[in-house]
Amino acid sequence: MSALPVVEASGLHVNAGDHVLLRDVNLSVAAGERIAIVGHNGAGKSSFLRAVSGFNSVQRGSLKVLGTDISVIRERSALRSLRSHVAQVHQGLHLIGRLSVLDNVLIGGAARSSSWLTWIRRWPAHEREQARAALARVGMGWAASRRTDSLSGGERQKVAIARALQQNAPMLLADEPTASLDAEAADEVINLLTSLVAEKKSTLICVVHDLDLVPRLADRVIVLRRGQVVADVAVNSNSVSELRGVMK
Amino acid sequence: MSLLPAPERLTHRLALTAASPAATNARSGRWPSLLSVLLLACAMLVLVSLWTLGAEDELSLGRKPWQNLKKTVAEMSEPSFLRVWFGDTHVEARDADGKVLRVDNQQLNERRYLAGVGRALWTTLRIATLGTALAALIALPLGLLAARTLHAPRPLFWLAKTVLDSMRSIHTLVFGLFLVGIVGLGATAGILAVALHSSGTLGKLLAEAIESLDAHPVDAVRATGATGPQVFFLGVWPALLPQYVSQMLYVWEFNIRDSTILGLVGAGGLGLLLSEAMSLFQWGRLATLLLAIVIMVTTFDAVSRAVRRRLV
Repeated sequence: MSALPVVEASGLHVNAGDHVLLRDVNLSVAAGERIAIVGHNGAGKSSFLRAVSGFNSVQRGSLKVLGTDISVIRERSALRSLRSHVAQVHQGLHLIGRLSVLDNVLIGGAARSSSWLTWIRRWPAHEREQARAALARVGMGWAASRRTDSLSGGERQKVAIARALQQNAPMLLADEPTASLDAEAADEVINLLTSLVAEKKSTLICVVHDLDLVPRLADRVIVLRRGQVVADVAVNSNSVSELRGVMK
Repeated sequence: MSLLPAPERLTHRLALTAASPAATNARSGRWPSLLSVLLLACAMLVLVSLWTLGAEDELSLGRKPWQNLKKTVAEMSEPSFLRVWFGDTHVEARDADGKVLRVDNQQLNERRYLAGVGRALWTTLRIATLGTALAALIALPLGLLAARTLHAPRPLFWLAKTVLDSMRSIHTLVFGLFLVGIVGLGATAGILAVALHSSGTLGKLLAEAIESLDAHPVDAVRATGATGPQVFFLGVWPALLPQYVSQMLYVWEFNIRDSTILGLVGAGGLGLLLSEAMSLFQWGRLATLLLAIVIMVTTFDAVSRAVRRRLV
């Protein structure tokens, strides 16, 4: 299966002011791959994800996402269209706490129905149906009308996954999806992520902190250190111990 | 053998402890710090103000401050509303020859006055409420434009900021003076005065609330490819609304206090009765008015504070 690359970075440099976030990153991700990105705090893991979704501007080099070079996009509409094809599950609580669970999931489909009626949270019937189905799929159907900030951390993360599901994108970025969850909830979230990625045959790029999760989430692991790729290997039975060596 | 590295470690640690006081010295070496300069400047300002005002002979307490105070307290210690129950029902006003000119019923008079106070309170409340509502409408677009994080076009941002700053810097009473000249005496002038001044305050509060919102959930909405208005209405507005309502209540509280004196310049409400009582030296009635103001303002403070605590 020689699929097209969905992410292709060559000589990618990203700065925030004087601070270098990513330097000379070269990598290519094929459609359907499951990638884990590991590294210490400040290694540039989240910066890479932010660059892929067009939140960090590219200083040098090129970054192609789904065939579009992000570094040359000028029109907002083009960026919006690209973002609509990249779903995200963020670390921590990135849902709108005061909205209901269903409303949060519906936001995933914002790019499809841009009518002003969505401004007052009136969504088309098929969007609502789809959102309910997404919630049911992550096992949160019971919470549809609950206020989101009344849920536990694990429950919110499942809602975030439902929102990504609602977006129905060929690519899923996840930034430490199990951070600040207890072992049981983390387990559930990982199972959910992997089974959904398998169902939809989508590409997963996941920033991971806990190396033990790498074999469960990914086929390939990329190690970043101070903004540079220092290892890019396939995941196998002994790669975790190797990774520990590389990380030191 | 195992003891050997110990002195090394010790010297290492010593070097560290020796280094840290040097570091603190370096930090405190920038004396005088900003805080001490600021405190010194404030103290100087206080002293200069005291000194110059004293030199201009503006700090005197008058000739008989204690006697005056005692007199005022005595005059105001009998609020007029008590006469509704304890007043004389038959007060005769006679001329020099002892002829009865008029007979007054104090109880009836004060009951009428009290009803007037009630109506004035009601007017004041309505002025403050309508003024605040109008201010909320004016402040919303200006506050949105003046919030740095919403990236409004540069000229609009500066325009909104300047308008808000100037509206806030002019006191309600000053607006009232102008507006009485423009729209005439009465409640309209008061409503507009309250609205113009407090939309400055409300707009600034709103802009600051937007700037201090957590950016991550908003970015998450943007990351779905949502349009600008969608990001605002689905990501920003839900988090902003309770804060905005809470600020509105806060400003409303303020405006109820402010509108009690608007009548002084003819802009309707209690202030008119205040100035009347003062110029006729009716201290008892003044005491009644002050009591009414205190009761109304503290009641609304308490209610609005309780509501605001439940909102956010």
